[in-house]
Amino acid sequence: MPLPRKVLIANRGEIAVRVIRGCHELDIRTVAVFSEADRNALHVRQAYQAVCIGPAPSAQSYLQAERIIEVALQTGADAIHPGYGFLSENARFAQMVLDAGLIWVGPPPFSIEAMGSKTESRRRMQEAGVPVVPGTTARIDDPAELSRVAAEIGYPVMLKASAGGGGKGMREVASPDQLHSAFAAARSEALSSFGDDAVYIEKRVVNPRHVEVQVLADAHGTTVHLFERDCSIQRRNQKVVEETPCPVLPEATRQAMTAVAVQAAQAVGYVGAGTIEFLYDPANDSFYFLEMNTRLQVEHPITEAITGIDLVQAQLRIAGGEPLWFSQQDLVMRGHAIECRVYAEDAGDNWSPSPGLVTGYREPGGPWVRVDTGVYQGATVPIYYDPMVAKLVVWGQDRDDCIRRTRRALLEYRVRGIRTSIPFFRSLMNDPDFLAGQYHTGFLSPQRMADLTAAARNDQLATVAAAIASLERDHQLTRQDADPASTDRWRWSFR
Amino acid sequence: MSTLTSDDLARAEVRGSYEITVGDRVRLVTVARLGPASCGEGLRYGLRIDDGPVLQVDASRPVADVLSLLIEDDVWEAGLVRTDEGFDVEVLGLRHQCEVVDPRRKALRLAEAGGAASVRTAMPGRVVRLLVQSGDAVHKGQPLVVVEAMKMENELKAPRDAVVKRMMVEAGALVEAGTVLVELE
Repeated sequence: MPLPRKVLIANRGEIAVRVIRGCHELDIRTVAVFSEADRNALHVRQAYQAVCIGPAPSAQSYLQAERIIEVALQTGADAIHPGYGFLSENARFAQMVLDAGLIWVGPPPFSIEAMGSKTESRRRMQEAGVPVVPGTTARIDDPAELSRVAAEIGYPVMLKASAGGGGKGMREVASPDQLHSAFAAARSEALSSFGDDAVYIEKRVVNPRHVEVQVLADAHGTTVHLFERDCSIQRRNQKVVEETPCPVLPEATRQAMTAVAVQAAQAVGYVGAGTIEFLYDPANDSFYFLEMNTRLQVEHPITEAITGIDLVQAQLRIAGGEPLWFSQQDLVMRGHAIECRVYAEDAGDNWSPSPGLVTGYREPGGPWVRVDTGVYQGATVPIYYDPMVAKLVVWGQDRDDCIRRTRRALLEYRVRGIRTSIPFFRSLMNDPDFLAGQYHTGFLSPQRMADLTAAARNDQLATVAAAIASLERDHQLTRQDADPASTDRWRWSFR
Repeated sequence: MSTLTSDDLARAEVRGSYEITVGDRVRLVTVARLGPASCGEGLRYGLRIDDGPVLQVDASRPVADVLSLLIEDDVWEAGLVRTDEGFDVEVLGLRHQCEVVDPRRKALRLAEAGGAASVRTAMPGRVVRLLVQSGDAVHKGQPLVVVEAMKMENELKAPRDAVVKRMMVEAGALVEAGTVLVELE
């Protein structure tokens, strides 16, 4: 079986640990890279080799393309796995890796490029017969044309900056009388944010769900899909909880959507693991292409859980040139899986960042519970990087079973020192709308977030604990001010 | 339910009363050490909240900053972090800020209120901007300093109307959790 011999992982945190696991299972040696803030990080401790690539800020370390390739050559690695984020969707970096004579564990640079631009990927997908949200692919300049197109696709519509992202240069328009002022606003915001005033128009899908399809393609022309993931539980356009299968997707629509996803991947000559994101409109049972993520996704483990396919191993074997070793017919969905993204954010304090020392850490275990993380008791969560510190992935024989097991795992999961989103998830797993599968991308309103977090509070218990702690402090009943990171049991003083 | 009564609390050699504020609710808690734990490590307490029943609580510390509680046999766990006001109590991952006042010392505290105060950062990070300077009069809730961590900016606000006595940090500084950023008077 042709495989890379030694893989450099150009990433950090839980995904670097995840990739290292896949490598070691295939007897592939690993090289970790780390910033000065990450010397004690888990991915460094678990790799065979580790090389420091610069100071803590990502721009000076994890984004240093030349330095990372230099380390790969110097350590004798023959492949680079980019994980997600950082350099993973950088076509130029992918090309540099190939030019250095190394294996790139990812799609060909031209596939990354083809899917990189919103309007470009939209145009290509339309050509390939993939449904896109009704609207224009090209920029609109003529107000008369704008009115005509808006009327044609029907209100409400969205105006979006071609070069955009993160909500900048984006305007929702409910009726024709608001169209032209919104157009002017979107253009000027696009110009000031991206230096480009190109704006296009799209139909606004009301209360859509975000449903995406995992694909795997080998270098020999075979592409398969591994079903869908529903990632509609989002906060500020960031996924928070994902599940598979999508609880409201009719089987016929699933078949159509997954077929389209395979078609989309083939249209850009895709190789490796990728994800086609769709907006799904449950009211009309229709779906539209959103974008393609040309890398491994954060939420890939739920697909692994229901298919039994190890996606990191698959990436490595495909990168080695192996033809796919299973067919579409071999793939079946078994049961249900949910992922909760554990963020180092204080759910009880408006989700403010909560980096720092993890003084206590107890992971849930038991059947069909998986935790992918980069932290441990005594680890420090640095201030420089993404706040996601762990993923809780749970499998159940059906959705109800999976939710019950997730609840149980969340009760077991204890993280101290830093604060996390875990309490919020405990409430979410009891929310009637979530339990009914009735949610959309706007589900987590600030009000619902606050309500769910408030429901997790236990003021009475806190009061009891504070009273006992105060008495113990005032009368020195127990040793006080112990090193919080210490796990030593200590003696009681009973005076 | 235990058969403990308020008399058991009153007779105990080590006991105390605390006004504990969590959220917007104040509870008066009487707590007394009754002896060693019923079984194994720890201590046995009797505890009463306001006019409620007297609860029996066995408390031990599996780790220095964690209280493992058996409240009438119900298992609970609470992480403890000392604060200026009392304790931050973590219950199932959620922080509950508990202000603890010993009523006997309350008068003293009231006398002190309105004096000097300091503004600390609850999270480690990098100071992005200073929004005020020493000598400025600030009003309650006015943002004083912006601290950034994990690509998110957080504003630290004045706890009450005051005058800025001294700025303790400069823009660009890396700060640990608990660092005093601004002194007020």
